[in-house]
Amino acid sequence: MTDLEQFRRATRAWLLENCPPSQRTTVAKQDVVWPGRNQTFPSEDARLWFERMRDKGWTCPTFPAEYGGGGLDEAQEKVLREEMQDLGCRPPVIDQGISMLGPALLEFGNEAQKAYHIPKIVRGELRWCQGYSEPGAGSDLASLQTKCEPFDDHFLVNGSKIWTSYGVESDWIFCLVRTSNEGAKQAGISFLLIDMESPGVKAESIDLISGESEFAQVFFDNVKVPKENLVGEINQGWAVAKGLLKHERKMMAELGTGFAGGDLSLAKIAEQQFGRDAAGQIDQPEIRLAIADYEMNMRAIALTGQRSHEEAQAGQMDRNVPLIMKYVGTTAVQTRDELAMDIQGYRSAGWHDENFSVSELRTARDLLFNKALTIAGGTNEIQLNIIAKRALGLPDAPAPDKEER
Amino acid sequence: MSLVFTEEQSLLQESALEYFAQHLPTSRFRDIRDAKGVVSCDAGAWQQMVDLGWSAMLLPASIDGLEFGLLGMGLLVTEAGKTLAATPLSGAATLSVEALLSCAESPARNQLLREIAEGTTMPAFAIGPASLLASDLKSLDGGLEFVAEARGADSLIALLADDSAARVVVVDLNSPEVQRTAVNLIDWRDYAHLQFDNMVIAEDHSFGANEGAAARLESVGAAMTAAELFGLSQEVFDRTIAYLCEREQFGRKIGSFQALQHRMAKAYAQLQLLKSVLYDALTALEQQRDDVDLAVSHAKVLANDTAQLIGNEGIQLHGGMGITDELDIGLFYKRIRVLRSAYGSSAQHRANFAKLSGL
Ligand SMILES: Cc1cc2nc3c(=O)[nH]c(=O)nc-3n(C[C@H](O)[C@H](O)[C@H](O)COP(=O)(O)OP(=O)(O)OC[C@H]3O[C@@H](n4cnc5c(N)ncnc54)[C@H](O)[C@@H]3O)c2cc1C
Repeated sequence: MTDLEQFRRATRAWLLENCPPSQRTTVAKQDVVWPGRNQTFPSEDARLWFERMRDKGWTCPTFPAEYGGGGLDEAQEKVLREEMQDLGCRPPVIDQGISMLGPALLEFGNEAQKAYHIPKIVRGELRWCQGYSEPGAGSDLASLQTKCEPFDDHFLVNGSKIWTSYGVESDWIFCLVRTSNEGAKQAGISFLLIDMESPGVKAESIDLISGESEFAQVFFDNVKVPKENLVGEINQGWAVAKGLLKHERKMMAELGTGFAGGDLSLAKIAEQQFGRDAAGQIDQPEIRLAIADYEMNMRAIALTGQRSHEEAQAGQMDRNVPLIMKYVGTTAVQTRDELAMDIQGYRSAGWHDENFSVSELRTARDLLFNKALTIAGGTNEIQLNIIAKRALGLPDAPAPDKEER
Repeated sequence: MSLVFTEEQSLLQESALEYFAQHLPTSRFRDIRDAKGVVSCDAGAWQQMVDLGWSAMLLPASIDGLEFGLLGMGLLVTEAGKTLAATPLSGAATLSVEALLSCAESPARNQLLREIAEGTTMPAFAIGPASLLASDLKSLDGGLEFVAEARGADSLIALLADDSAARVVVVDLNSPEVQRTAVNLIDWRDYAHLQFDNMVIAEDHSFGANEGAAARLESVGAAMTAAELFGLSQEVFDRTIAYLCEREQFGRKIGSFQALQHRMAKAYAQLQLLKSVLYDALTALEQQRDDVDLAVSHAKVLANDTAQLIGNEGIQLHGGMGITDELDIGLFYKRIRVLRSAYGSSAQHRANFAKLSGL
């Protein structure tokens, strides 16, 4: 038996022993465990599961053990992920510190920053949010204007961030700020960590069409930030941001496929709605074929994910293939949501109303929520720009200094 | 699972690329057409492919075959598509071989397989109704339409089936009892209608096929057609990208126009999806997986629709040049239009996918 097979066995045995059965079912939104200063748990089992994973460092499986992480290599991490998936284990905790900031700090942070922040991320002591976008800087992220001036032992930050996911609930925010107006836009940006309890920080929630308010606008009014919170060199923040973007896109791609569908398949919904004809077919030919198209598309996407994975393993990785995944995955999910509503008509359009079943109420919510998928983490138009440029080598449009997120 | 090529398959792909570029480039298609000949495979090219081992790829080792599998054959057909090469790879080396392999082993059957592998015969292949056979199964009467490669071929291997039984028969196309009527299609390739007039079938040229033979041969035909459509799509795509990087209007390369970039980016995404689905379908056939019919129907729908999209974009983005006979794009486009109808339309395969998915 190879070491990896041995690791797989041991991992599976450990998971079976330590993951409570209630934590091996699909996660609804209210079941998610978040980290933070004032951490609460949706259930006792969720707390147990979180603590056991945390103590093993498996909240951050690939982070170095010296900072409390799991110390796994990539192959082992994949084994862990596969075994968790196979057993249906929930993620023990979800946080942008784990998925985004941590990996970037390990790459770009200094020793003191790593020693202070990484263990806290692993242990879920702080909840992190991402302060990149601004009212005037979305796709053209490098045009950001939040001002950051150096003083003796601190920086002074003024300005505002928007679309900050979980900005109200988070403890710290990692920000891109402007430290210089000279030269190219990208050359005057720095990467700064800010404690949101600092005087002058205010987060206001933004209501969304889905009825949720997961975003905030975050305001900075003469906020003093210690100099040691600068990650990387001053005016070199763009490199950190780009490094972090890799992890963000990876997470987005995983999220995108995770969103595929409510608890009922489209076939089931259509069967309930239209019944079946004498031949056993869903008795609405147009919907039937539309569902077939959707299922073909999802199947093609899954096979492409698998092919890309097999290519990587065989050392024949085509780096261009992953570029299409966010685009095709997110549009497919939206098609599904639209079809689900079309099939159910009024019954899918209920809003906070007891006349509807939980799954009916979810239909419209899913559609409205998933509208974000084609916008967040680089809009689909920006994705197409990137495919055209990197995969197809098509020439740049005339305005040459545009660098897109 | 295998959606990536093994080393042998990669080497095969390289030699195919080299072979078609050198011996059957697109210019050759054009030369034959301009001389008003039908673009068919000639004995010389077939012999070269035989020498490369391609005719023996699907034969079992027990009769000196290479057992290379359908994924390997699919990639050859894809490469042939890229240069519009007319080959018997699909009709003779794949479908005819598969048809014979669906019959019980016998010296006569093995002899025919060997003849194909050695290149001493170049059969066309067709699927037809069992009603062509006389009740004593000893003669053929009636017609088959749109038989591919039937003018260049010297024999026909036909799978004749109804709901209860299937037979494979082998007949000499040069016999006076069969009438070949040439059919010219927009792709300039070799098709004919065949009319049999109480043609006697030699006793050792008639075989009972196994139960699922007709369904499997339909699937293999659809998958090979999808493989060629993938090659055609890839080639039109590459040529269009090259044109976008070269042609200038308004003082800039037209490939810098975002409206065009996005169209090509979407086409690229679809091409990547097709590649995965096609390789999966070929693998499913090779491994005789349970979901093979679903996998193949998916591949044919996606191949049809991707080739249509890319064929259309290819012409449109070349502007006026795109509809001239001088450019090859139109030749690819016409082949795509014909192959969309071969071995099942998108509508048929979509309906089949829906049925097999329990919709
Ligand atoms: C669910 C969600 C979570 C988010 N979380 C965060 C977060 O935590 N932190 C954070 O900083 N930000 C976050 N964002 C913001 C996100 O990164 C931005 O919304 C995104 O970058 C787009 O910017 P914008 O909204 O300003 O749109 P704009 O850039 O104004 O775009 C408007 C439209 O113009 C198109 N467009 C823009 N430029 C081009 C171009 N060059 N070519 C073609 N079309 C173009 C876009 O595709 C879009 O359709 C989040 C967004 C969402 C939806």
